[in-house]
Amino acid sequence: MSEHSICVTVNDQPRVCTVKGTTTLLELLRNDLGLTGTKDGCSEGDCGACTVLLNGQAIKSCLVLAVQADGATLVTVEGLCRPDGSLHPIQQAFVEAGAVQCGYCTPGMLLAAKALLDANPQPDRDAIRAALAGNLCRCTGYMKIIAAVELAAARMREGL
Amino acid sequence: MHSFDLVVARDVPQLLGLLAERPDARLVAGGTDFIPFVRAGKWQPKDVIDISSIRELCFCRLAQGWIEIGTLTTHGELAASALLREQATALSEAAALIADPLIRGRATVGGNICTASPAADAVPALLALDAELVLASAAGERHVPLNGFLLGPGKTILRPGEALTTIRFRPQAPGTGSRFLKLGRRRAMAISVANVAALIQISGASIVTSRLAMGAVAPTVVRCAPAEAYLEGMSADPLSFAAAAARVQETICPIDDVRASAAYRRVVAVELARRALVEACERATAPHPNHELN
Repeated sequence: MSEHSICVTVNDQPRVCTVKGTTTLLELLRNDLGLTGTKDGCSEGDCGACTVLLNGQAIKSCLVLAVQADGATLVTVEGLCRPDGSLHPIQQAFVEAGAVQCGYCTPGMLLAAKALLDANPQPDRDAIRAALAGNLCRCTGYMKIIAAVELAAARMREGL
Repeated sequence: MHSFDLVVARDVPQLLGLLAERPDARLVAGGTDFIPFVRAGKWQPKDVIDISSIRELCFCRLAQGWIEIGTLTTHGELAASALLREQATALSEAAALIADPLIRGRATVGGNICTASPAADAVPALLALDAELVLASAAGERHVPLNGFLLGPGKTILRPGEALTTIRFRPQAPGTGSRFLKLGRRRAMAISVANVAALIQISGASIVTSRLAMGAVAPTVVRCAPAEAYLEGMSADPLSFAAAAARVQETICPIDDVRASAAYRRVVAVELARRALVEACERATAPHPNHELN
């Protein structure tokens, strides 16, 4: 079986890894790099728990081969918080709005929300729903997640 | 996951060389079908060629009277294209309804065609647009119509060593409108229960050209020839479209599956076809430009 040496920048850290052709980006992050904040829900692209940013774009890491991320810049939930350890405004908003229950979908929701807010700082509710349409939550009923993204958007526009 | 040997192709000449050495290799691009299918054992490739980094196969442009789309263009890129919104409205709509934004950012139009799912969403729109495919191998290129490319679920006329590189079709002529509609169990991440693309060209009050293609109602996405033939020369009115839509029954042969029964599909296929024809016609008659969506 083929082995491949790849370079990725994960949460601002350059990493050189040896992966098999069959290794998914999700497996690379969790098993090889120990970044277990990214969750493995369905392994087939349905649930969005494994969402990370690849070159700024939200993607489902279970649907990307690690080899395909060669040269890419990745952000996982571990890379969201500020250098001083304080929460990112989206994380803070999720806490305050009560948008977290069991928490399994939360890392993926945070990164899908970040990709949305990076592209559209003032999304309406329909735009938020559309951006999170492929991220499933079985606890909250979504209302508080949507409220959290609205709260985060407002704060980020104010530069908080 | 099933084990395979993977090589990375960085450009088209390298891809065609690798394919000549490994004619039965499976190509992986967006990976959104590939990874689940390999994990499930549905595909068991020995050799895999990653083509996701071939930038020269990612484009959507008007060139010499054709709209040309590179095989690696994502559905997100198709949905964002102003050219397609105006000149291939049904394709623009189909691309915007596939899966969710995250998958649309990875899944490619070439993958949607070559996976040959009976429920592919981009394919009915491309059939309604009379799309042609450019198939390349180390021996050269051939151009084939999309109509006839698909043989059955997962089966196409692609030969060993051959890859789809470009999809092309003519821009919509004046007096033309097109519409894509999809019925799914939910509004995102849904495999179509049935889908339809219609294209209508009118002159005065009569129909000059009609195209009607449906998905998830037969072993491949299908052109509904009896419905199209019925409409040619007819007056562009609701009764014509209802009568044409009823004729999709002559083309479709749906099955029972986890998403819907065959009997239900037969009922909704007619109504979806009727709505798509009526709405395509409304766009054909609307003052230029006909790019209003929803």
